[in-house]
Amino acid sequence: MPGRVNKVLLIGNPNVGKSVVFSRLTGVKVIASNYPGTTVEFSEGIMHIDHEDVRIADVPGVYSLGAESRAEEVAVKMLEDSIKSGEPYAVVNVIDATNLERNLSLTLQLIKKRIPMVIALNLWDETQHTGIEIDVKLLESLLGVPCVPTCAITGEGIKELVDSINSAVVSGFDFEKSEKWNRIGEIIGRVQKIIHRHHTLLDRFSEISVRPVTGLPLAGLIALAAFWLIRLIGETLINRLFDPFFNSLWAPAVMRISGLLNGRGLLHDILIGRLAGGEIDFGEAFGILTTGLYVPLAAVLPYIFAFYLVLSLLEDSGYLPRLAVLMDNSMHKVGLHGYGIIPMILGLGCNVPGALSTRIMETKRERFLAATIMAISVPCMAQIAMISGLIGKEGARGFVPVFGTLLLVWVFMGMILNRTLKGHTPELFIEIPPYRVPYWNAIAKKVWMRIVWFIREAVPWVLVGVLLVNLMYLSGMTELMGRILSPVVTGIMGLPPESVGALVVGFLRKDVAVGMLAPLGMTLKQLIIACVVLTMYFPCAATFTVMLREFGLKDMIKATLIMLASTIITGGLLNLIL
Amino acid sequence: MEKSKKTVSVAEMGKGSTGRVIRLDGGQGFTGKMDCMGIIPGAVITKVNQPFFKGPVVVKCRNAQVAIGNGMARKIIVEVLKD
Repeated sequence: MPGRVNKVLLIGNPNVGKSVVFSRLTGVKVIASNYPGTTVEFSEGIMHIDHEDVRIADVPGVYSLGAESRAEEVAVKMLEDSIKSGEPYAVVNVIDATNLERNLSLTLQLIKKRIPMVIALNLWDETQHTGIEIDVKLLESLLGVPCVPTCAITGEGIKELVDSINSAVVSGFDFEKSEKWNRIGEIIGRVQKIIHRHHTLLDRFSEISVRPVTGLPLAGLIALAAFWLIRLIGETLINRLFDPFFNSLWAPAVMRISGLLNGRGLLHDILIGRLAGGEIDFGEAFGILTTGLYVPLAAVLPYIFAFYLVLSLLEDSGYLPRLAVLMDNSMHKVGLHGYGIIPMILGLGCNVPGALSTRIMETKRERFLAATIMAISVPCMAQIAMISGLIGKEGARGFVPVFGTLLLVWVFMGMILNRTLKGHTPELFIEIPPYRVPYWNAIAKKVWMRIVWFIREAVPWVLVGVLLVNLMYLSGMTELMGRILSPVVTGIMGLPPESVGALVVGFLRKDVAVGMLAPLGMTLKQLIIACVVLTMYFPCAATFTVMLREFGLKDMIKATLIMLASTIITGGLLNLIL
Repeated sequence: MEKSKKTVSVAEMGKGSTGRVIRLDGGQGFTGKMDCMGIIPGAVITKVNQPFFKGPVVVKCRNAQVAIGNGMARKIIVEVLKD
């Protein structure tokens, strides 16, 4: 009994493009990638069917309705809530048409629930390149529900899909549960023809990248290329675009304001900061209009852009699950399986999405372990950019001790937590999607979303951080705290008492905190220790909030104690060794 | 009964060889997980990689690739169809 619906649920296997369908239908932008588990929480939006507003939910991808994983629990609950609510609703079952057989398993389970549904045969364009022919009309009559071929990423078929939603019906198809795969086999035999084709270049590349002998060197090369590219793009943007802008356009404007303020006074200190010989050093002045804008926009943003461009390419190509396979053995040593590499990689961009992405891990133990070692020893891009600026001129003498120490801490903390936390690590069990050539439009959209997110989340905190630095300094707080904490900071870690100010600001933004080290005139040894300590001692406020929400107060206190203890030990050891 | 075909676990299968699943040596949780990917008795599986030590095995089943931890791969028993 087709009729008007006022709620739509998008349900399908992981990585079939539900999120892309969702953003096509609603205009809401959500992050989509080529690996299973990108959507770990559902998002809701509004779409229009015949000029009427209809609520639509993007349900996390599931392989079955068994409520075995967290994603499945969420999906089953959402489905049951809709059934119970009595509102007219419809399910859009999004299917990867290149992988029809496997996807039909969920479809048959949905059919068994006797719910009104339509099927979107997504990635339809790819069936054509890969030599798969599907008889849509026959599939429709066998399953008894409307089937619409779509290619969400280009928008093809989306209009037809919207038009079909009001004709969603309950299928009359019936089967015994134990016969599910046999019935799927029969359907596939009738509707799908696979034209034999030779191995494509991507197929061959796919095999090379999961075989250890070839895959491990390839992973090393890809990592090197990624770092090289990020550095090249970041440095080029800074040298060619952002530094010239700040030095030749913004500096005169700031000097004008400085003149208006008579070059001194409280307001001058807060807005402009300290001038060195009548000149502005944007990195060291520490005024809101100078360092406050320069750090997030000129020093950090270019690297954020470069990082997310490279990350998006890796994500959309489908390389990350293959990396997870290769890293699985090593990751088990730190108590995670291969997929644990994903929160670490995302954490290198920003610890907040890194902490959120721990939801792709199956157990709470793994989620806690992954988030804790990430928060302790994975520096975010903003911090890496500032550390590079600070010790970059020392070359490997600066970089190797800082990042080498953090890597060692990561390994040790993982091993220790793996031994001490109760439970064991589950085994890797993931689908490996085919390699796909990324769509530039999709990449551009994703990078843009992440940049906007960074500017909105980071810039205000940087400004607050710079303001705080000034207020603390002017009120004598910095000096007082320096004296109180000096037994630890100076006694154990060998840092000057003034560096305590950086530790305080590091709660807000680590990039500003690293920036505060520049004017202190520290030795290389002190700089190395300070950079390591600033990364480890505590996550920034934004990451802390996310972790608190994910793990609760008790676990967060545990994580905080682990962080403080490991920081003091590491800082002390570095002070002894270096 | 004629017993000409050799039965091995997916972990022991050779790289590139194909087999038909004859049984799953695990509990309900395990078989449920495998069912999601269509790995059930009767399914045909091709092994894609040969991992170091006890690394995960990548197999092709029902036209899709799946990475399976070594411990689980040892519980999937197949008869080899093609080496």
